Amino acid sequence: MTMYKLLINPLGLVSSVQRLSDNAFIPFDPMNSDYAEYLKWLAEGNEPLPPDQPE
Amino acid sequence: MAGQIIVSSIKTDSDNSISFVANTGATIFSANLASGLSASSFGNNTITSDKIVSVANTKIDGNIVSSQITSVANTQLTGTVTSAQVGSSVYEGMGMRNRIINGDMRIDQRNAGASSTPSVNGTYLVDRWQLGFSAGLASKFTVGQNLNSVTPPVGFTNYFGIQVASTATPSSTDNSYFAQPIEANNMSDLAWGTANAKTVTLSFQVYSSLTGTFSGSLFGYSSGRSYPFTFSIASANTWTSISITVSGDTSGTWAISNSGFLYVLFNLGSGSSNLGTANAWSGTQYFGATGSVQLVSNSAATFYITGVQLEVGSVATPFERRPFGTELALCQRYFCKTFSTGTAPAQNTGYTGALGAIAINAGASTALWAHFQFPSEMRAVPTITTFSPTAANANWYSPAGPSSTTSAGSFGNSTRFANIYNTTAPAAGANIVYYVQATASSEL
Repeated sequence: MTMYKLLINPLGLVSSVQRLSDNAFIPFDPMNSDYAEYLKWLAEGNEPLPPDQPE
Repeated sequence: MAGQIIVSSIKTDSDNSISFVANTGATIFSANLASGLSASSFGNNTITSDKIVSVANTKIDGNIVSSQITSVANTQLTGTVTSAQVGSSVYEGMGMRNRIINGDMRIDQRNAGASSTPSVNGTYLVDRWQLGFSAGLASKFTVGQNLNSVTPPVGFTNYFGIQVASTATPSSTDNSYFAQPIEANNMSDLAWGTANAKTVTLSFQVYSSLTGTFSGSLFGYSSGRSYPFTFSIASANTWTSISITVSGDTSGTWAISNSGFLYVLFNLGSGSSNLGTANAWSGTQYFGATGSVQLVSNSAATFYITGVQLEVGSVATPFERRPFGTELALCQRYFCKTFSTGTAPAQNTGYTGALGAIAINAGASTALWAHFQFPSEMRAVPTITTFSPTAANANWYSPAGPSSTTSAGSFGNSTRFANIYNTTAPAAGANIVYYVQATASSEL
């Protein structure tokens, strides 16, 4: 099962998600097909890992 | 009676007509001299070209065959010239008519010619082409550019090869295919979904170890429509040219945006639920035609393809040759990389092309930032993947030795550029340049 982890950008906002299988950074863009796959994964009841908190 | 009459003038009758009558009584020439000569003037006999000399603005009605036109400068034809009336050499000068990108399979940014046996549905292969399959048909095909090194068809240097790695009998709901999704922005002139839907022609060259009736589909990306088609390969292991003309779909809702429009799809083996009647539009999304060859069910069977072209009209014109740089730029709207063109993206492949950033200070107080400018405007904000130049991780590395302790990240991206960064700075090395490689993907 593909695993994802939310990411916080340097401005402190959650703006993308990381696909852990290949370290890909997926933007929250509805036209991005990887993001569409992530939304489908979420709809199946899965949850991403929480983001690392800024130091 | 032989002889001659010599006169200085002949006066016509009241309507300026004049005629000559043969000894049989038949009129062999008649004309109204005030309104000019017509074909009937000569009893519908042909006037050969050597009978017409230096006549400006001559108008000729009717069909002119090519043998009747020689060396006429500034000849102007009016009316509609259909594609069937134009020689193939003319088309070679008409650019950008092929809606398929990388139809000759020569650009392979991801794999640089290496073969693989994909286990992930929708894996992209040579640029713009993907291998799709249902879960039951995963890892059934070995694929690659110029797989098994057969001789490409004349005029081509590349093809895409598919070989069955392990056989399977598709269940009714299985599917497997080789396909290219086409962006709707490049197809909106087709007016599909309206009464003015334009006809298209799909052409390609194909080579297989099998013979028989194969199939594919024009498979709507979001319209829910499909058009299964068939094509015949009569001789095994021989390049065969195929041409399929499809009337535009007057039904359904076809996107006009940077979303997908349709897949040009070649069926590699699909179950009965995914196969439909050939040569007709359907409201069901079929991957191919009922009764067609199931490649996946044949041990070590091969299927090679190149020269794929989809164009408006009912005639397959010669494959459109585009400069390599132009074709690469078209591909880069969907996938690009910092690596050299001939280098497959991977960890630990070196610094060539890598993005660089200078750590001003050592330690946690310094972030690394680099700007990844895309060579083409991408279709959508892309997915960014980072690679280390010299290690099996995605960290920044310096030729001087130090590296970041965590992977590079990316944020604030657009369709034109990405920011590659790392907020956890290298533990050592002020004023040292660090490098990272990256890819950007906005595939459909």
